Amino acid sequence: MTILVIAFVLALLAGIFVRWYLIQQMSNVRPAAAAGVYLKQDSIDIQKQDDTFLYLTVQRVPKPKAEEQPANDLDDNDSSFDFNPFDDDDDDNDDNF
Amino acid sequence: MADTSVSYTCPNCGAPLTFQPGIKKVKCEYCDSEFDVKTLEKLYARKEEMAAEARNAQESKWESKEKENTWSDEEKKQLRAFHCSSCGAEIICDENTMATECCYCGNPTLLPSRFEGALKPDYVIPFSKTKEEAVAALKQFYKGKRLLPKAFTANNRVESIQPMYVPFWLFDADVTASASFRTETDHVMETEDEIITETNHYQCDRQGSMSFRRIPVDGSQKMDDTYMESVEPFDYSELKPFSSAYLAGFLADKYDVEAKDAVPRADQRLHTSAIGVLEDTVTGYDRCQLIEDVVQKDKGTVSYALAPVWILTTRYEDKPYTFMMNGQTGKMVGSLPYDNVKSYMYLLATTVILTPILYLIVRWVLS
Repeated sequence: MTILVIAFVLALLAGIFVRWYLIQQMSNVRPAAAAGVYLKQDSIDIQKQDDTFLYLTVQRVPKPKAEEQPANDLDDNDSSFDFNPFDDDDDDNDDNF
Repeated sequence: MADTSVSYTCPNCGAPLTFQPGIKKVKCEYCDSEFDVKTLEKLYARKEEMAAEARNAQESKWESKEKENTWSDEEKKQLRAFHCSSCGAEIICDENTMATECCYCGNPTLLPSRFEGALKPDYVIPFSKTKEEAVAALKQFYKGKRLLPKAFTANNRVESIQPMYVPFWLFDADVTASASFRTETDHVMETEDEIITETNHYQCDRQGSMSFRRIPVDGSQKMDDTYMESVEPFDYSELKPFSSAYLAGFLADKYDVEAKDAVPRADQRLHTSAIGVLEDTVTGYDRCQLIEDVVQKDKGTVSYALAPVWILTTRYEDKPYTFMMNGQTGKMVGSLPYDNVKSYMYLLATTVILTPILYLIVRWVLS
C-alpha cells in the first residue's frame, strides 16, 4: 500500500509538471534579463583571478546497519529508517579546521 | 502654403510608394517602378525640409505674456492634425507619430517635423519580412500548442496587421566588473561504518573589463517592454543610417521615453551579463555563490534607432490577443489562450499512466 501511495504521489507530481510545462509552452513573452548577445567576445579581459582557501568542514554520516533495515520488510513500513545523520553528539561529525 | 506632411509618390505615375522588405527597394505597386532608397532620399530631402519648416511655422506663436502664450485644448488638437499631401484630408495622429497612412485615401504619409534635427534617429533596421510572412509565422506559432482551444484556431481571423518601426535606444558601454564568489568542493570517502564528506570552502575574487555594443531598450511607452525584449535580438549587420525612405508605407513612432529613463534597464541587463562573464571563470568547484559585486561603466554612449516589428491582433471570446514579430528576423512572440479542461486532462492522463509504472519501479528499487 505504501509503495502504491509513493507511486501515485510521484505520478501526480509528474502530471503537475506536464501541465505546467504545457501551459508555459503557450507563451514565449519573457523579459531579457541579460545582454550577453550584445557582448563583444574579443573585448573580455580578466585582470584578476584569486582563489583563496578558507576552511574545511567534515561531515560524518553513519552507514545504516543491515539488521536495522531488512530489505523484505519495506512494504509493511514497520522498520522505518530512523536516524538523523546530523543528530550525533560526537564532535568529529562537523569539524572545522 | 506648403504641406506639413510628405507622401512618397512615384515620379513616374504619381501612385503611392512603399518600401518592399523582400527586395529592399521602394516600389510603385501600380507601374512596378523600383527606386533605390538613396535616390528617393535625395528626391524628397527638400520636400521634407519644407514640410518640417511649414510645421514649425504653424506651431510658432507671437511673443506675448506667458499666460496668453499657453496652448488651448483646441490648439493642442490642431498640433496633432496634419494634412494629407495627397488628398488634403486632415490626419489626426498622436504626438509621437512619425509615419502613418491617410485614413481617407490610404496614402503612406510621413511627418518630417517628427524626425528632424534632434529627433532624427541615428539608425534604422529596415523591414525584411513581409505581411504574408508575418501571417504564415503566426500560423506556425500555433502549431504544437497542445492546450490551444480548438475554437481559437477554427474561428481565428487576424483582426489587424500593422508594420511598425519602434523607437529603441541602443546603449554602448565599456565596463569594469568585480565580484567575489564563495565556492565549495566536496570529497566523499567511505569507511566500513560511515560516509565522510569533506567540504573545502574558498573565496574567489574576479575582476575584468568588457564591452557591450548596442543593448536595445524600448523607447516607446505604447509598446510593451517585455514584448520588445522578447522579439530580440536584431541583426545589427543590417543596421542602416536613418533614411525616411525606409518608412514609406509603414507606421513609425518617435521615442517618448527619454534616453535617461531607459538607462536603468540597460544597466540592469549589462550588470547581469558582466557578472555572468566573471562567474564563468570560476571553474572546478561543486557549488558557487555570488557574495558581492560592483560593475562600473568606464565609457557609455547611446544612439537612437528604429527597429521593425509586425503587430498582429486577434480576438477570442471578446478578448484581444496581440502577437509581435521581429520584422527583420521573423521571430514571433505572443501569449495564447489555453483550454483549462484540456490541461487537467493531461494531468490526469499522466498520473493514470505513470502510477502503475512507478509502482513497479519503486517496488523494484526498494526490494
